[in-house]
Amino acid sequence: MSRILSLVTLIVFFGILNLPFSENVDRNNFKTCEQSAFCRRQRKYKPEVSPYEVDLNSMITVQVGHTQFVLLNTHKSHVKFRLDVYTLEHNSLRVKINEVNPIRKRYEVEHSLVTEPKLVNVNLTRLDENLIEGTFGKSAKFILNAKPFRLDLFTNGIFVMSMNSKNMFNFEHYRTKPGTNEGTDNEENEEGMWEETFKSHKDPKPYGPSSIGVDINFLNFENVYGIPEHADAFSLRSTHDTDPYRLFNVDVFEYDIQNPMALYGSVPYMLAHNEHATVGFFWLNAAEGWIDVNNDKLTVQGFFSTVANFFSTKPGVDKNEVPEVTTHWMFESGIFDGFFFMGPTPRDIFKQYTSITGSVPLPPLWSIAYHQCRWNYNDEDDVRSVLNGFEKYFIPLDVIWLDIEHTNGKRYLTWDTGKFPNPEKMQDDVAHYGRKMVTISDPHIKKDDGYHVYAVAKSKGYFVKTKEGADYEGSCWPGASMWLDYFNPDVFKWYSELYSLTNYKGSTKNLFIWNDMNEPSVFNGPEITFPKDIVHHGGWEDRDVHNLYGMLQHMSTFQGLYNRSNGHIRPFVLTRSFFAGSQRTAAVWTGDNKAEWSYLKIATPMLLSLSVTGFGFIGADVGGFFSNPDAKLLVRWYQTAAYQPFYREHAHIDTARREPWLFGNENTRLIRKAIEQRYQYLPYWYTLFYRQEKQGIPPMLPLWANFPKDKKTFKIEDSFMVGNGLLIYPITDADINQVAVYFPGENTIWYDVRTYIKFEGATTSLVPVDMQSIPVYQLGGVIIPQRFRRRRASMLAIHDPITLVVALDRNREARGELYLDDGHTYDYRQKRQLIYRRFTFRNNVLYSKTLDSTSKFETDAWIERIIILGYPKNPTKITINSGDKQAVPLHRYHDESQTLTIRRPGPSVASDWTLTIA
Amino acid sequence: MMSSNYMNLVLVSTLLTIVVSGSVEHTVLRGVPAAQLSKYVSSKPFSCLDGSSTIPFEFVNDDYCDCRDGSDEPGTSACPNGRFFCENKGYVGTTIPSHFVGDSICDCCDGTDEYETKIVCNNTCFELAQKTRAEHEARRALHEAGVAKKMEIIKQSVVIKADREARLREFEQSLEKLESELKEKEELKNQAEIPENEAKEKHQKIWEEQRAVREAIAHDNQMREMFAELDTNNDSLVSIEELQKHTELDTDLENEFTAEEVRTILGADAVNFDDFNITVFDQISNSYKKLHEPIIETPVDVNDVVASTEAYLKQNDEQGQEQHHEEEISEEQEDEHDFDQHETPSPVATSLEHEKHIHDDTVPEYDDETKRLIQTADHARNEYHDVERRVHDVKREIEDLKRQSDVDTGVHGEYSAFIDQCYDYEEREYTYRVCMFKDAKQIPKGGGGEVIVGYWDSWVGPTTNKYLKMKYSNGATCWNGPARSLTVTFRCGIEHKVVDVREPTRCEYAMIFETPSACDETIASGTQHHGHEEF
Repeated sequence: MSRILSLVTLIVFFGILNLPFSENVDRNNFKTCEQSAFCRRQRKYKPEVSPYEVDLNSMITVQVGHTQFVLLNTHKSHVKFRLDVYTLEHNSLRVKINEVNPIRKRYEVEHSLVTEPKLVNVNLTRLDENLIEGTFGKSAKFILNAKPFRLDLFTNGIFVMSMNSKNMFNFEHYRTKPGTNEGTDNEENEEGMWEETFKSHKDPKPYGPSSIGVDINFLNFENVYGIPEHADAFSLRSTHDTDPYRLFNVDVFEYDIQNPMALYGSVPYMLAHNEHATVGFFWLNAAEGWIDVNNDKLTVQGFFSTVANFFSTKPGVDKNEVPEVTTHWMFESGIFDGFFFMGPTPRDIFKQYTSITGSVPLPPLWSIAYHQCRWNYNDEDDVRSVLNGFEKYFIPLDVIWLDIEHTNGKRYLTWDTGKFPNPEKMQDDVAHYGRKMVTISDPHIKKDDGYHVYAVAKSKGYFVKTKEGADYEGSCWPGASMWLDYFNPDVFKWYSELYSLTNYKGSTKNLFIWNDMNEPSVFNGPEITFPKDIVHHGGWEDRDVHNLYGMLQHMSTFQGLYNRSNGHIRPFVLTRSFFAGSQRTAAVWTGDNKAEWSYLKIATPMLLSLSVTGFGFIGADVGGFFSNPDAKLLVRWYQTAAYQPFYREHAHIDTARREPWLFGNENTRLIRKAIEQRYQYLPYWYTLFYRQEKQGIPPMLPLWANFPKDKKTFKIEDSFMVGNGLLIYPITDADINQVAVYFPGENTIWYDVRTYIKFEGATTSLVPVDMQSIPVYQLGGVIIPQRFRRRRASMLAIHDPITLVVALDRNREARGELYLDDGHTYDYRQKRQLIYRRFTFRNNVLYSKTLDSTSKFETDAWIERIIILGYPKNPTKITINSGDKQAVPLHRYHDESQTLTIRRPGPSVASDWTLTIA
Repeated sequence: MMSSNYMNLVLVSTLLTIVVSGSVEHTVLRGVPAAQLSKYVSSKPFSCLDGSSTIPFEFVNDDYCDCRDGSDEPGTSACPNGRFFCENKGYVGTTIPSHFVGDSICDCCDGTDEYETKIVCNNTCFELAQKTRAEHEARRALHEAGVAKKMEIIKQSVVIKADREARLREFEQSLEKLESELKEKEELKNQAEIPENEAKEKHQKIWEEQRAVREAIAHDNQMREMFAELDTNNDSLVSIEELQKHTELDTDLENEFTAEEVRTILGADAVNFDDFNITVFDQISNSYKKLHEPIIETPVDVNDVVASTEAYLKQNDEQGQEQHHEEEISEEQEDEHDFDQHETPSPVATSLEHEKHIHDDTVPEYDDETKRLIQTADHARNEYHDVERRVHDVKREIEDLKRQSDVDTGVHGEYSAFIDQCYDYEEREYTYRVCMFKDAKQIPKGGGGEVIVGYWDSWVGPTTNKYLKMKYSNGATCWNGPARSLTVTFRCGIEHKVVDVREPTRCEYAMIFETPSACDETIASGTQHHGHEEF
């Protein structure tokens, strides 16, 4: 959902910009780097030699794994900095740089990290008077160069990252305003340091310049990823000829694609990947940020000793030129708090980042099934008729959503009782089929003394304040509004309690929540959000904490839903705005996209960028939010999104209705089939989500995450993987009858899931395409659990039998996992009521063994079918042993596709068993 | 794809039950309707109903899908496309998708779809049958009452139609008559106009000649007068000196009125009356002013004009409308001049142009003979136009009747009562008004302009009965959206009335309309079974 841009603005916009092609967003509403004073200052900061030096003699070991130094700016010797180096578990390093005794405390981000990171011992060696080497963990090493200040990082002895090797480290200390008497500084006073005006909005900057810039460089890498959210390529483009990538949570009306503009959420985390290593850099900072990316060749000659030594010891590396991605990070305030993740594998990287910021917890099963949304389902009859449509056309459905019009005048947590006179009954009717509902709850609170949320918040001073201390007032959906200050722990707690069944009238335990507009969107604010100088709890300016606001809202919402069931039922919250750590409590969608093929296409790189930065539960609005998709685009979108984690159809209020049965029988059938694909693979999806909770590996992955050595995959964004077993190639063009699919991995085999036709790895094949489905392939070597049976909703299928599809690799081996539980409670954690099993196929024997022997979950679910792909011949006999029971199930064999289907093998999914093929 | 036969059949059929944990209770015929029982014979292999394959009978309802069409598993949820038959004793048997079996939701009123789940389904077939029967009876009664009204409408429609056709015939006949009458009247009119025009032309001509003479005399008088005035020394010559006093004749206003300039006007040092007449008078008559005399108009002149104009108007009025019409334009011109006169008293009051207007531009009354001819012609004209008007009216009536009979009011004219009718629906913010076969509007209650939601388009009901829905399209366009449209869905009711208006999609409105016209005879007679087999 987003604002309706006034016609006038549109006209003005089209009048001013004479654009070569049709664009959507009014770019004038958002700053360029040139218009953001600190970005302008930092971007041009490129001295020949860095003035920053570390005083090695100042070194103190604060505690094991925590070493502290004094850092100086030789040009401003009166300003002292503290350099803290923390060696962390999981091959990770944290480096903090802050002012010593600043005249104003600098903000250090709260709420983002899942826990205080665990320190590990470091072996420090003074190499010479200028260098200190630290080794820690299994294979990590850093070298600190004192004069000038510079940090080099190594994993497995390979040089991977460096900080300030391009001399761009530039820390603007807090200072008194020039011209005031107390002023002791004799600082340069550039325009924009103490005041800045954008459009009609003046930012008075009472504390002056406070930004930090630093260069982080990835040596021997050609591809970097991450730093969402941008509607841009997965492998980040060089920003040499554009603005830097921007991180500043804003509501961009009809955002454009293929550009580095800021969007709804920010994760200041970047990964680099090559065939040797995957590494990452995370700067924990919630202020406005800009990141330049440049793909360079680094000339090694003239490089100083340590690095030159490294290259001289690596045979086969061109000594003159190596690729390098240099990145320049700039934040408006806060401190430098950088995490360096040393990999070296993609798995390691996922673990390392999520052990710092947390992983996506296992969502309720229904929430990874299909969602039907629209702005708006108008009333109870409308909801019922949509529900009936899904019944009538036998299309599975788990959730129906209500957008802002369901409220009483955009007073969230209320109902328009004319349209929804009996919301509990409506929810019960939906829940009768095992389904759920979701209502929207935005952070702007209508200014209306008769609205209980407003009245209490107003009286208790719970709203964010202007710098003069008044309640900040802006405009959003309800008109004049105020915004809750979630930074205040009392507000956070109070807000969460609004979601209790008693406080939220008309809600039931089957109702869950959607937090939208939480960047926050302020229609009349600068860049459609908060002014930078408004004040949050603790005296922090929005400038310091801006990108955290949305996360705090959805964290509080999550807490409310969690408490609503006394911690028994898993909450579900969807958020539009997010920050590093949001993944712990909310699913994320890519906001207000458009019903155009290009937006279907960009969804994949956008979701991959989120995936690799910790966000596994993500999706794009099916069909495109704005304007009307034609049937073909809609069908293709359903087919693609069936293989993306969060699967929700959503549409703008001005669009035509687009429930799946409104496009003729054939398209209804195709959409049903696409949604059924999702339900068929739900056991696999659910297992992947469980694995994500445990290991931080997102369900949707770039190809390189599974094939890290296959260079051809590094830039791929037209296809992706679900887990390690499915390769998905979305069709993103209207008229296409074949596509060139790259099958990653040397010596791999891929099976078309429809036809079981085989494809060779490390090749590109031209594959014919029809409307029946998009190309999907199962990797040989992977066993994927599925449910072939059809049900109306996912929760009705949790005890249904399982089919195992065993795709054999070249060694006729395969492996896979299955996770099962009750689908919606925390009993899997609290009572260990779960089934987690591994299936292994080796030497013509398929084993089922538990991966968690302490767990137990009661279920009737059994193995009804095993399909073995790539089995070379028709076997004579198959036996299955489970405990002391033995059976000889029937089978069928299909020569042409080499497919062996075993009929009713029969064991319970909960039991150990062995199936032997003779 | 899977074409090979199953192996080791005999071995399995004894061993299979050992490992089955799904604990399937084998009721072979579960989910099969009686009509198809003959196809499920336990002593024979089972042929899938689509004929795609044949399987051992033990595979029927064994909770594993073998047939492509799902026909081997009517009683379990194993096949994604199977059909489960609920016997529903006391109610009617129904068929549900077999994936509703065992999903913990009671779909059959006898609860047989949940035979293997833990939930308990109450047998609601008896209550359901009662309820359904009551509903059917209520529905039947409604349709019965509605059909009675519908019959009246249809009967009425027949009358209306017959009446319309009769009127149409009548009108067509009278049109024929009128058209020939019109021709006659036109002839008479033309005949009467010939002498009339001749007389009028003659009259005009005489008047114009008289006027020309008058003008010539006036011209001459004025010239003489002017010559006499200019010839101040009375030597019968106008000299340069004499003319030079009239500085108003100086065309370039910048300098003096030089002797040279005067000579240019005179063409000589002095001119006698004849030369003055030929060469000078026309040059100066427009600018010439008397010396030392007041410039303003005398009030008498103005009054004369007003009086003559009034007289003229009066005369015209008496001559009748047509005449008045013909003269309208020149009269307006007069008015304009008259108007000018009052507004700006002219400094060139003595110019000929002006005098001509003031004194002599009114046509004198026609002579009696001409008046008589005009009267005759007027009469002929009036009679002609009278008939012409009647032809027009009759044509319009015919058009209206034809338009009415062109409206598709249903197979039997059951919607004929809608013709030229409008119906309102009051909602919170708006009144919705549909004018049948014309247009539909949204009228804001708080004031503000009404919006056209659509213009009559067509009947758009299902192919079985297109008269159950109608569409109004091409209404006012929404900002950023399509043109508004309205679909009216009809259902049986005792009165004609709108019962609901919604906007399920922005700018696409949906109206539900109750009317006896949509009531159904088969429902009313109770012969329709609604797909149910028994109660």
